[in-house]
Amino acid sequence: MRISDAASYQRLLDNLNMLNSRLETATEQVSSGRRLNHLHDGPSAAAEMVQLNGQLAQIDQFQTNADQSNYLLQFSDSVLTSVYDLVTAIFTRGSEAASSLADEQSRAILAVEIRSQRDQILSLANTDVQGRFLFAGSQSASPAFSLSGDTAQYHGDNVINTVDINNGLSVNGNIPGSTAFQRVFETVEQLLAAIDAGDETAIRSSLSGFAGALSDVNKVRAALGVDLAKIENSSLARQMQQTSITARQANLSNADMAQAVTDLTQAQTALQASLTAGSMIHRYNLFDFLV
Amino acid sequence: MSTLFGSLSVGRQSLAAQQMGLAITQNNIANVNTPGYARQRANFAPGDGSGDTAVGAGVRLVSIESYRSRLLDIRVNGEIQRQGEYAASAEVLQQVEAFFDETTGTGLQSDISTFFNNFSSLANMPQDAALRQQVLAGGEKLGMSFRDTYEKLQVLRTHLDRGITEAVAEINSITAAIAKLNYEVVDMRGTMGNANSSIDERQKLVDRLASLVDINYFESESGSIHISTRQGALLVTGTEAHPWQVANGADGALRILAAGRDITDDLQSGRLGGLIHVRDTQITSYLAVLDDMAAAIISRVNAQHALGADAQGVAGGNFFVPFIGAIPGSNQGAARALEVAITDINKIAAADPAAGSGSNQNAKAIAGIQNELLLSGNNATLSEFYTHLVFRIGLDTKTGVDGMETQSHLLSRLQEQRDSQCGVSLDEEAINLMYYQKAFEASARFIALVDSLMDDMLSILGG
Repeated sequence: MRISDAASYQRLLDNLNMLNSRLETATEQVSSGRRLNHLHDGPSAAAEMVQLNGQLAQIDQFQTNADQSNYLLQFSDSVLTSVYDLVTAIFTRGSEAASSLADEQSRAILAVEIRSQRDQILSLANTDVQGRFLFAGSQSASPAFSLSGDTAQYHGDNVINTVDINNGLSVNGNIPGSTAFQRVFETVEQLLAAIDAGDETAIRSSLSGFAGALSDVNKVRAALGVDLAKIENSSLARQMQQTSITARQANLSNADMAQAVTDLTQAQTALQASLTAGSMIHRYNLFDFLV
Repeated sequence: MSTLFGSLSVGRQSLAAQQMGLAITQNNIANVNTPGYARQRANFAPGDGSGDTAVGAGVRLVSIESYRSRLLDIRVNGEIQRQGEYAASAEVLQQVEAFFDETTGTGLQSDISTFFNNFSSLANMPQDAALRQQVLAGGEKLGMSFRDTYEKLQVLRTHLDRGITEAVAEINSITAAIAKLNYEVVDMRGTMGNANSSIDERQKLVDRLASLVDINYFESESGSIHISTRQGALLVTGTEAHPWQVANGADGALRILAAGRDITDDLQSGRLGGLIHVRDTQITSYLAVLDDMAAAIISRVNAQHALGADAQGVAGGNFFVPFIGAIPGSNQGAARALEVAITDINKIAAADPAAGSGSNQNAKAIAGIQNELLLSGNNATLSEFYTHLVFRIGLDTKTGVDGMETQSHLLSRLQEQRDSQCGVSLDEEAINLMYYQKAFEASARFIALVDSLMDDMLSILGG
């Protein structure tokens, strides 16, 4: 093949350009540690990244929801534990008042104690977290219960907010006070009325209502336990989803360092060789030998 | 029958011919680095003698021939057109893909996710002021990102219009120069002159023209070339150039006119074809995707928001400013109009209207919109629809970038091939130089010999 001078220079230039661009790609990968620096580096990988980022953001959100619900449900559970203890204590006082040995004065003292414990239950039923009354249903801006005399009145509703903790999985985010506290307050109210009246039979019959009140509290706690377990059990699933998405993302976008460094070295060597060859080849032509 | 004087004349012709050979070699060497120059060579022919025993009448220069390969010229020209097209689209689309920086997770997708997930956070504590504030901020950020991306694409289109104007101006100046060179080529051929350098220059301009727009050209018998676009819009006919104009179209985008006819959509290749394709097909379709997404977000979020009740128990109003398109039934411009309508955090309708303000039902429903099949005829979620856009932008850019690279390899090989026929080789010219020099020396010595023979004759006569 006939080689013109301009063409041989042009070919050298083309080769140098090509090697320089390979060197730049390799340098970018090595220095950023990423293979996916532009959308055009891998259109389908970039598209998958978008989808994965969306999924990951949603799983992170489910995790936040789970943490928040876990906190509120644990908190509610500890409140209900205290309520259970207080109701048991009131039952004990009630049993004392039911005894034939109890006189009017001792019954009056017991009534004072029971009222104080009942007030503690009221305070627990009106527990708030950052101004949100936990047991008021959707009316959570104001206290769930108020007392007029010994009669407790519920101001909330029966709305339960469910919270999503994974795709298609949700837990109850709150317990309406009506289910947990209504019977407790009614039973205590009957007991107090009977004690105040000094009616031994009435005291006894009101004490029989405590089993139902305590069972209400326990049922609610059992339901809470189920939701807490749901959160606990789904946490592993979320973690595994997160791990697999992050791994896939790394797979898509991270440079294979060994490969990238090899490419870099290769491109460097080739460029060096090309430069040396270029400088040697173009040193002579026939004119150098003509006198 | 040859005479001594006749021999002198042959010697003189030979000297002149070798000198011409030296001059052509010299010219080739001088143009070794001139782009588009095709090497030339002298065509000699023997002079005819007369009569049966005639020995011939020396040498004569028949022509100076230029090594042009019409076939390779046309192939190179065709590839230059595609090279121009790919280069233009790669250049513009690499800017576009930078607006959609999804590889680092900071693009539009993250704003969409954050917007909906903020509603999910609000569902945990529907009355919390900080979470309500966060929902508003997320909406504002989402609107800003859509508007910003849309704006950037629009600005880019304006820049493209500038590029188109410049390309048309360059096309006009090149076609004017080619028309002038056509005149010179025809004129020189008419006066038996040598038009090679004008032809080289003209071919260089035709190649430059090809990098700008898709052309067909042919050479007429007179030596002038006629150029038109592949779709037939005239550029050069003989010695006449046909300048193109640009004018604003109905949508404000520039249109290209040839003899008053709008040929914008006919242009397929070259830089101009590439710019128009990116502007009218690719960027336009990207904008349409953003518009469809924004319109879907506005209408669906507003509809769901209206089903809820705000912190005061009042039915929800519009969360986003409703979009009313300029063209009925079209979403065009929705991405530019995505904006949060409410400023009061208590107006966020997180609750079920049948329940109290502590209800989270509607916040949850709005958060769930991100998983609804809102687009592509109820076949794709927002994220899936957007994913498809990202894929398309990536692929379009890759096509441009890869095409440019492939094209430049192809063009290099073709140009090498053309150069191996037309280009100047200094080694070859050095040999030519020796060749003509030796012939010149021999002719000079022959003239000296004839001179000495004549001296001999004269001395005999003079006695």
